Amino acid sequence: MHKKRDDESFRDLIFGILFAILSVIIIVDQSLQIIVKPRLYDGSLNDRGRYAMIFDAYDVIENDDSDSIIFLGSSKMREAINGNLIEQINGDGVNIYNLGYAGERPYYRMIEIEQIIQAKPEIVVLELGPNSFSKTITPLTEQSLWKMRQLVSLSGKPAPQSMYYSQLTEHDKTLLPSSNIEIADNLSAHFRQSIELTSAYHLDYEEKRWDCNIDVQCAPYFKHDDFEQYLEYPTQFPNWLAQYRESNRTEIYYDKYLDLFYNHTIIDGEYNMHTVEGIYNINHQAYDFIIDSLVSAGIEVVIIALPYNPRAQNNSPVDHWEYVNNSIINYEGNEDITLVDWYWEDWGEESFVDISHLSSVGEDEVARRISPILMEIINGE
Amino acid sequence: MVNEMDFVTPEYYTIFLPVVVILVLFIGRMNRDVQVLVMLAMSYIFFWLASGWHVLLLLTSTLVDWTAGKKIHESDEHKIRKRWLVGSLTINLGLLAVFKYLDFIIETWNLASLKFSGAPEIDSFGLLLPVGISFYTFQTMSYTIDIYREKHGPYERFLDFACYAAFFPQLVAGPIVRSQHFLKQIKKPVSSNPQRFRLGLTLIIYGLAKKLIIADNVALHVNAIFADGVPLDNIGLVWWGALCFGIQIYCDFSAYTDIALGSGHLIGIELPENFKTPYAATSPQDFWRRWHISLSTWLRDYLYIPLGGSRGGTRVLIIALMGTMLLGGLWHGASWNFVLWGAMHGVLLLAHRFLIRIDKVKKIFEYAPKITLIGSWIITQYFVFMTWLVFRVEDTTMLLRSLKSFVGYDAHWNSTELYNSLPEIKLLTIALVIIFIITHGISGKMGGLKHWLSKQNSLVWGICCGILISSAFLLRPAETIDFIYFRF
Repeated sequence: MHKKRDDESFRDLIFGILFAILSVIIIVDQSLQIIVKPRLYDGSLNDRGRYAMIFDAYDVIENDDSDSIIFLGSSKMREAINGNLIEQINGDGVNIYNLGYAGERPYYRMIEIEQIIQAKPEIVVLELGPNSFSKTITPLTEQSLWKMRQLVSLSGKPAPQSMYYSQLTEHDKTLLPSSNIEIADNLSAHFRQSIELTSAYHLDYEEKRWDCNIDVQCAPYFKHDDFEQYLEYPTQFPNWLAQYRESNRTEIYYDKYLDLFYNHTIIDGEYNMHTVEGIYNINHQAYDFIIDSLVSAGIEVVIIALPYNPRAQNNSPVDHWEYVNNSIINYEGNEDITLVDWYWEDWGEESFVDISHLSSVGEDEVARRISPILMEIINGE
Repeated sequence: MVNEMDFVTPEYYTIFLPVVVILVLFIGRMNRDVQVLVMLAMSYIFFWLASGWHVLLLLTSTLVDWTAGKKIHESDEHKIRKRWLVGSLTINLGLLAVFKYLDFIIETWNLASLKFSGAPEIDSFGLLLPVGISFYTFQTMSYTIDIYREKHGPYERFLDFACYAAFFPQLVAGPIVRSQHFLKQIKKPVSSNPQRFRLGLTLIIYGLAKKLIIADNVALHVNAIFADGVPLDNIGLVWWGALCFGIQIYCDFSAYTDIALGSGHLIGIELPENFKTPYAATSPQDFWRRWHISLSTWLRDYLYIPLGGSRGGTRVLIIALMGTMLLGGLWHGASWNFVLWGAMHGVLLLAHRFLIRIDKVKKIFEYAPKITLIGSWIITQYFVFMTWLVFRVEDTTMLLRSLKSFVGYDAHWNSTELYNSLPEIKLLTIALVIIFIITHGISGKMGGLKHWLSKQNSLVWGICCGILISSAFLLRPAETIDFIYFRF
């Protein structure tokens, strides 16, 4: 009798433990999806929410039956590509995805490599610009590490199990999530702040930091109706240069920002992202790793060197972009890829909203010039 | 090696506890000697990981009381028995005095000589407080005293006694276990069963949730409020600080006890309860029947009653009660704050004793029992939370300022200032405080939510435990705060 009762209790205990484990998995996963992720998207937890949507974007692309073209790069790429315009020129059957985000580095971007390949795009267009080869601090700064940890966590795959793992420095390998528990732990670290902010927003107790229709820091949540449209043409910078021009203060603008752009190597303790290093650094290695991986997966790769505001190029210190020039020459010899080099072209000041980012005029120009190149590749010509 | 093990280190749950359970319940099954040996060895490993070389102090205390207990029992001569008792108490209290109070005494001496005589300063030793010394010293002392009082004989086997003194769940922060309570459980092989195992798991999960969700979150508000530069003349801020600290210390300490009790249940050892919803207390006496029960009963049995208790008239009562509470306060730590805290509780207990003797008061209780009970609860808790200020705020100026604000003297109310002075996680902490108050009330009515939970069917139990574990995982602050009672 006792034995029977003990057996039943033992069975109950095992079932109870299983229910507990199941509950933990469901609650933690859903809490991170419902509470933390939206706050990463809208930038409440950091000052750049856009990278948080990357992996959900790849899910959308994977389910897209049309020919998909993905643009990857920094804010320069985000500001240059108007997917709607390119789609209009190329006609139905081609979908453009602009996944450029501010502060991008190939060393971070390589975390996405498996998902990019899995999304099966026809073409991946990579930006070739100062960010691609700019100095990456080793060991990573706290801000960079934070972003990489988030990216690995959002990818849902522990770093050691991923393709890019071999490209990481030994130091960075120890800092990125290496198990599913660490991934959940990493995202759960933001739960308190996320639930606080979510409650505050709902109670109108605190004003939202970002508005996804106005501010580039914010991305609409992937369940939002605007998400797919946003992937084609994300929120853009305002045209600052035009604003200065209207008030006849153009020179004041250049005096201030050209100096900042070229001469300040360290800002707020961080290296200026436009300080090129001139050696084959981990960013450059990651850039080549991305190209090789895509080419091996049978995906067409286009490299695009976007132009700068002519005032910036004319005032650049001697040999400042020498390493970029050398890289362009180097990639010209690579038969596996298509190189589009507009780096030193003069598109006129109207094509820019500031020193480096294209305006709507610039976007039109990009769409007009890139479309035939892309169609040519898609049509296999 | 120090501080590598406590009840919030993952290794305790992933390695240490499973190993103990397997060794005790499976490997040592049916052989109590092997079980005792395993529990003893694992307890010393636990203490070594938690406290390093201080493990030698535990060993000393164990050897002293084992020898003293034996000698007292063997001797018929009152003189010899007394000599052994005094010797044991001297060594135990001596170790406690040196490691816990010596620097405090030196600092007090220096302060006094600076003020009155101008004598040269004595350097303090800067000794690290051995983890759990107050707990295991009181535990082993009670063993020797009980033998002296002929309440029971000594343990027959040294290993049993050493295991009692060092038993890892209660070693660091209690509960303070009486020797016979432990001995009767290890006389035969210890065993668990599924119901008991489930109770153990429930207590551990419940304890962890209390610690990580509530105690550690409200602690951030407490630390922010009682810091330099905070406007403590704001009534709201001080009230909120006192409320949060009261909740923090209860959730922190009772969480430790829950985990200790739970760990014990997993290997078939039952430890005594230490708390019974103390914030439901309706009088100071009631509070001490619900708060740190194992300490308050120890103080009652080994201090208050020997000092005369309530049977020797008013003067004796005052001396016994105040003496007990002052020493009880000092037990918490080498600081005048704790002495004052004990004194305040002593005064509250005395005031309550004298108040309930007044006929008019008795009549009011008889006339409107429910309303007076609510009134008593409010008054009791008002003073209990006031005393928490003394416990928490070490700086004298800040403490005086806080106490003034708490009673509304020379203070103001400013909600904007209150809001701005709190750390960034505000709404969540307020919600947690409200949840605590509600569950504390419900728990009081139900005789303990954790016991209710452990008796539910597997589905309800599993889901509730899942919610608690998930909440602890998601809501814990980035840095776990040490258990407060580790310091005592």
